[in-house]
Amino acid sequence: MELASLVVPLLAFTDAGLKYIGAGLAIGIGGIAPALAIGMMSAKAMEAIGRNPEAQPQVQSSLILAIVFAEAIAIYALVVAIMIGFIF
Amino acid sequence: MKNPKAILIALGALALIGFGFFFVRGPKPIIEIKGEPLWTSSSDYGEFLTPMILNTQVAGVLATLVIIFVCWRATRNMKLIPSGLQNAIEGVTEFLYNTSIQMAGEKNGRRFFAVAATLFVFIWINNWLALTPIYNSFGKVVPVDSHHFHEEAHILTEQGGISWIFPFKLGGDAPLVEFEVDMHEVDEIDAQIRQANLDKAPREEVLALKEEREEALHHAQELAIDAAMPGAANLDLSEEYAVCGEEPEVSVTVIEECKREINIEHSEEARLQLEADGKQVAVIYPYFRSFNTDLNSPLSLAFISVVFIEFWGITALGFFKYGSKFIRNPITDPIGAFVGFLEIIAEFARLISFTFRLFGNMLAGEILLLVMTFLMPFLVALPFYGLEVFVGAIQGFVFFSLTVAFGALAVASHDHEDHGDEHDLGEHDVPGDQQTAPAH
Repeated sequence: MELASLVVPLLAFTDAGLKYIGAGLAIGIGGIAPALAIGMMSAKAMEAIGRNPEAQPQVQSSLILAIVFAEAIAIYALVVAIMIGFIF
Repeated sequence: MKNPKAILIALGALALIGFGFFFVRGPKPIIEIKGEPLWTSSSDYGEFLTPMILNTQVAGVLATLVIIFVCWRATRNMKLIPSGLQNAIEGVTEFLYNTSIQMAGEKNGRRFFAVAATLFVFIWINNWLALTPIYNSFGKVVPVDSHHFHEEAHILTEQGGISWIFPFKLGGDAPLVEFEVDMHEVDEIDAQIRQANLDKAPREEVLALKEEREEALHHAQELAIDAAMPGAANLDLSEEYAVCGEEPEVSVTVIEECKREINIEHSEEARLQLEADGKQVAVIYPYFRSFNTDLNSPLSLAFISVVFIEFWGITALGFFKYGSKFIRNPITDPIGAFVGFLEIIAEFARLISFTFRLFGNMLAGEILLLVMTFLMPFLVALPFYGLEVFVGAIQGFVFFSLTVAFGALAVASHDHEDHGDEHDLGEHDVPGDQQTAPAH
């Protein structure tokens, strides 16, 4: 009985369990900064469009390009998370 | 209650979701990161050099054929005032051309346009084709062994010449192992120890009894684990030996290993049972798989892009002028040498970020669609489908515009770094240099 009571709570912290915790943390933490960045950029772009509505096409195209740069960071985190989850 | 039509539509949607959820839910998705080989050469040159044809490559060939066919149809019967397909193609071409000119200037924009637009069209068509039903739906049936089956597999039944996949779940969650340690003997020895203590027996005798108790306890535990998990005795524990340096105790690792073995055993039994019923246990390697979901393909595209960027840089500035961006004399110009070193790293980072941006976006999209279709078929998956249409085009455009923008950076002579050197000021190797800076 004593052995069983010791072992069961530990099962969550095996290699497999820690692997999934790591994958979740990787994408979770990696998503914070891109989310903030995209939010800030969109806010500024909307401000710009509001001030100067004729400039909307230019603002929009450079906004998409800039967002993609920020999003790339999230994608790296995602790739790392997928690799942790499925490959290692 | 104002609009009975809307309520009817909502009810219909709910009914569709319910129907999809309860009746047409597909099998649990099997997520494979690598492209699956459809054909492998019989001669073996090792893991990395053996020639093979991946399903992503087949999809790439299909996309090429589609592009050729569409262009042929569009230009077969050209008119001065375009209409239909010709109009669409001209619209795309014109948009790309204008963007290229806008970003890199008249001269360089024209130069970069061909390669960058080709990359755009190829990526775009590939991404959109991957959303058609012929992708990921039918493929080569590859039987799996129990080790693989334990983790993931499909069950196929032949009915009228068609293989049907059935939802399947096995393994993965090992049954919770319960231990029933037989404390009978230990209790007896405990009683003996107590008696010996009461009788003021000699110390050696008590110690011997205590040792006996430890042994009995260990034996009882071993018996319990053996009863719960019959495979435990036959486990290969050489890795644990290597780590501990001695015979390992019964530990979490051992128990995990046991569970795996048991699962594989169960899987083997289940497989034999299924095969006796005329079903087949296999995984399916689809004939077509989205081109960019295998890391090799975006990497090759990124190579094309980066090689062309370097080529443009060298032809515009000359080999040594362009090379001086990266390698400088560290004694006369230590800061410049360091900056050049960083530039070299940035060049490789560019390659990697090109690759992973495309790969990550497309793979994540595929997985998202797969999982959403599995969880809630029909309506819930639809918005994500629309998102994938958007992302597929945007990623192609991003590849295009980054190629053009980096190309514009490469052909720009870097005189902003030469502020200290008076003799370099005002020297412009490239006419129209000011316009070559990227537009953003």
